[in-house]
Amino acid sequence: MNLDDRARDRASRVTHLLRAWGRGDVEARSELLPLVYRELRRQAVGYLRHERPDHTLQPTALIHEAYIRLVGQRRVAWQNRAHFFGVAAHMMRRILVDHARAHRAVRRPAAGLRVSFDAAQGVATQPVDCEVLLLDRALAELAELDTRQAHIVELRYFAGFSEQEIADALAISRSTVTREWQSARAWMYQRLTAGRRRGTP
Amino acid sequence: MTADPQWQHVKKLFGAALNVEPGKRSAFVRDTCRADDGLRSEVESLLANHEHAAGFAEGPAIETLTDLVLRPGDVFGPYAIRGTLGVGGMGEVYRAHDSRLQRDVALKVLPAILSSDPERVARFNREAQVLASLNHPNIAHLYGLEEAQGMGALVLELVEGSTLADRIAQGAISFEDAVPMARQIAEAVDAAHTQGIVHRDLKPSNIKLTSDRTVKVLDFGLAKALEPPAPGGDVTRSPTITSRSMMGVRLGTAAYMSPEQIKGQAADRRSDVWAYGCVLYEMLTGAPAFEGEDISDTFAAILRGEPDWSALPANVPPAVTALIKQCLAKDQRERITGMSAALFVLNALGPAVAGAHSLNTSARSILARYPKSAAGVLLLTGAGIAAGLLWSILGPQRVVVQPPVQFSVNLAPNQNFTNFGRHLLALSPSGTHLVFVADGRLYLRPLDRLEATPIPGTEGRGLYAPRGPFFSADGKWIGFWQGGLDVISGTPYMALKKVSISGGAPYVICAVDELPFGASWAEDDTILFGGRERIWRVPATGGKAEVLLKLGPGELAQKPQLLPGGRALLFTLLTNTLESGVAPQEAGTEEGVLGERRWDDAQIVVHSLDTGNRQVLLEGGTDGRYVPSGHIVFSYRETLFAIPFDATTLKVVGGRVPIVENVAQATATGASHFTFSQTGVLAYVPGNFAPTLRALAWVDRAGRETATDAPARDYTYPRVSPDGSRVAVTVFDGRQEDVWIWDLAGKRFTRLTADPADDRYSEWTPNGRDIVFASQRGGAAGLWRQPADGGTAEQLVVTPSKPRDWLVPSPVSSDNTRIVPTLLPFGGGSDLFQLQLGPPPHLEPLLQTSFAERSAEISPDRRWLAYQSTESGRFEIYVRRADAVSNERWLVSSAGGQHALWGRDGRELFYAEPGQGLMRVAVEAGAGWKAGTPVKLFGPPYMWTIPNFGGRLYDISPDGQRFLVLKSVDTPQPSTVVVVQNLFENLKRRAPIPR
Repeated sequence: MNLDDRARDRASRVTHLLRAWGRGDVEARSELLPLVYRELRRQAVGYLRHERPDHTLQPTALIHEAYIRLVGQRRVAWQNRAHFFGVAAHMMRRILVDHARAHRAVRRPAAGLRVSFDAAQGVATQPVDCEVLLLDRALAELAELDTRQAHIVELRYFAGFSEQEIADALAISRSTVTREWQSARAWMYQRLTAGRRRGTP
Repeated sequence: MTADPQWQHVKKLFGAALNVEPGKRSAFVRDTCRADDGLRSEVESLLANHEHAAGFAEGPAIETLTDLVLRPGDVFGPYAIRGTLGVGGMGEVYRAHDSRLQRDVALKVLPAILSSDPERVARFNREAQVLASLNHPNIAHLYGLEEAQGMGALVLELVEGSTLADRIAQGAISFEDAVPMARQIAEAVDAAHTQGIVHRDLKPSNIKLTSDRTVKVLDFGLAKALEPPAPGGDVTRSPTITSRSMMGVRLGTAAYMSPEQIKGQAADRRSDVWAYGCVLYEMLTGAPAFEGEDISDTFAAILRGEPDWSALPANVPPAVTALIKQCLAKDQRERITGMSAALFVLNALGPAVAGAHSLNTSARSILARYPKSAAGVLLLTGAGIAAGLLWSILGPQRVVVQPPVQFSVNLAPNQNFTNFGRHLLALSPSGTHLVFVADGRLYLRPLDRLEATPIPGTEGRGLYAPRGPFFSADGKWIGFWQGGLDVISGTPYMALKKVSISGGAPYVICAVDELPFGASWAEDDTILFGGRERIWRVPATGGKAEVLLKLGPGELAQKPQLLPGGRALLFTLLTNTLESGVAPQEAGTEEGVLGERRWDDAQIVVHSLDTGNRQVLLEGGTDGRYVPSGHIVFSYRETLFAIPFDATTLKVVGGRVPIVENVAQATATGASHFTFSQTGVLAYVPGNFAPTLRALAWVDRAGRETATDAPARDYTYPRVSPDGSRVAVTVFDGRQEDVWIWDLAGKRFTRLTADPADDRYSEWTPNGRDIVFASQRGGAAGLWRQPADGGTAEQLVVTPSKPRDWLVPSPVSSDNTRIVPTLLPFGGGSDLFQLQLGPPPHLEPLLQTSFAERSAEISPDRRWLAYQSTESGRFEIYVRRADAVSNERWLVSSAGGQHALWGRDGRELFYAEPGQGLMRVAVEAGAGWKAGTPVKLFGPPYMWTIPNFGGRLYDISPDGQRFLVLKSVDTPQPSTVVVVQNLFENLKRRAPIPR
């Protein structure tokens, strides 16, 4: 089977899985995840290693490229595309968090956060997690309060979608996206700087 | 989809506030929040953080990660960074210039996790010392360690040139060119092995080809030095697998993993030998020995597949082919144990491929290590080494363990069974393999080996751990249940899966709505499972599950099994689940509903698929299973019984006989932890999974704790007698709940109630003579009163209610005239009532709203009623006038509160704030209600609330100085499996089948 045949085959399989999942087939989703993951990871890791010649790459291009590669030009209902992007954003989050953990936890410490962690100790004796890892943790807690909001954060921060793109993908208004993103950001910032757990958010 | 309503509200106000101009914002927030201080502070806090968060989380995440830590021009100790060499599985590698020694080096920055754990640092240093002592021309040298700027880095020999992977990408390497490379690689690995160092990550991208045809192997031993301590041997800890997720394996590097590494066992020299075989094969053919579309295919190929031997070029001598095959023996015990065999073969080849070493010198030096094989040398020629001869020189040892008649399989230290509410064990039909669920995954233990290996792909935590494993009829597959969380919708799902015992990722067979109670895999490759009101069947190859048998309303089937002949079903049946009212989500968990133990009443039934008749074979028994010796084995109250059974006539033909005692059983789900093979092997978990144990303790106002000397039990609802001499408490003994009285001075427990129905929630009358308690006697929620010294209980009131609803009493009013009980329906919601004790007793509604009100108490001066209500969105403590004429009420708690308790003089009110602990509010004297702000007395480690349990879990001493609280106690869980052979002979002797 040559490369074109394989790509075509895979595109039809992915489309089929997306549609099946849209109809509620749980198995289709679990089959789809590794395909999306593998595709994204290949590209993301290459990007992270500076192996891509185009350093001006838009991060969302990774996901759109993956979409084109996996689904091709086939017609897929917008809900299924939204599903795909949601899945892809979630996978991107995993890929990036894994990368951040495996490489160095200490990177450019998150702006504004370093101060509050170090305040009591002067120089940090414990490495401060980078922004990606901190956000991942805070997001996991936010997801317990509001899963849709957590999806929006994934699309915005981990996948790099613009607010308009998110609004289109989820079929909600742009202002809703803005509000969700702003309140999520404030909430996560609050949690990361509070140091002690309070009651509800 | 989770959407906390409180949070939605806060968000909405936050968004609205942002639309108001900054100057007017706080006024806006104040107005819209009105009296709700909690809400206002949330919104204000969020707004404040919104201001401060400028710059936070701005860029797309990928941008923040593509920054390397060091840049050309940076200085790291004595090293000047010149450029980047690459970003690998263990960190960035930079080219750097050593300003002291004037040479270029490779600087490998280390993961920060390493430096924060002193033990790991020490171990790493030891490993690094050994690595640094490796001095071999084919090994990239480790110069040392450097620390600067809070980071650590390895300083390595800089090897210029391309890698073997690059070379192979251009095509297969000719045999003449390949041999010198292969020889050098083998020498490098051999030298390291001699020093006790294993590479563990050998692959073409780790092998460099310098311009003068020298080979250097990189990253020796770093895999081991850098890995975190892995207790069980976890596939995902290998350095090339950087992610814990199931899909985190990098495709290219999985291809060189040995079967034992995939199975999670430790890698040793033989794993390097395996990788060497892969590399050699790939050099000669240009393609990897094992590859697949994705990780599971690659694993499958490694575990079960064979490389394409025909791809080796024709000019490769049989000795080399034999060598590769010996390196790639899947069972490491059948594999060549070290590189000496490879060196032997490569060096003994004809002069045409002598390479850097002369033939005779190297062959002799290798033989010198094996004096016994001197006799074999004469037979060896370049092309004539047969695999068998190689074998006889280096023959490995096989270890066979003969299993005794009975033995124990122990879990590893700190390993625990997971989710004992569901079956934990499965035995293959041939009795050779045991599967158990521990640490959130499935483990496979061949009974002739000494170790259990985790089955990759089955990991999950908590609700997502695998459950209920069972074997296929041919013993090649393991079926099990596993749930998860849908990524997009956030809804939980439950699936039936299967995994092959020889490895590979699990397959999903079908999705189900709720976790069934046991399953079996029939000879015709269909899987049967039972649940609420139905028995299902699904083909093992996958598809949609179909209803095989519909049961009556409220009936629940456990462990359905097709009897030989395939025309009858055997299963355990519970008929009264409607009465028990077990909520579906809780039915499968050991947490379950307090007091759910209806499995003692279960029946073992047989249902003929031909006639549709159902017959009860046994009353009182669970986990009934037909075994080929002609018996049905089942469990009842932790004892295994056998009863002779004729599978043709479908009749029981003898009496039940106990065969094994003390078999652990989950009371909530009836799951009994035993399993049989078709050959008469029995495996079971002895002991019992101890119920929750708690201790009764005194804590003073400053938080200092003293013990009560009462033994640890499953206590709830402790109450101190008015004179402080005794404590009435509810105890669950594993079967039922009752009220017991603990005498503090005499340190003696006496049981007050003994009725088989559950009795709970004891309260003392003010004179200390009687106890009022709630009971499920008669199948309805009622309140009873009984003298504390023993005597007959009299019924005070009973209310029409559904089973599992409770009427929870309150402390009796100080004039002994009334109680304000809560009607607590099973499904939630609750209302307050008033019970006038009379005589005659008279119950009337007190407070019934659409919100939940509960846990009320009348103040000592009888003017006020304290209670908790969800009218604000979560439980808070309110106070209203006890005569309840008006609806006026005052909020007492500020950040949530439950289970209010009046101080004995009425000047204080206590309650529990979730996440905080015990709070105290000062109450001012006066005609109206005036109270101070809540102050925390002491904190969390005591039990303040239990889900679905409506009562207050703490009490206060008569002098008001100490509180009686409950404390969780850790209990050791069973951690062994006992395996008994030849049980069928035993059964036939003790429960003979009449002829």
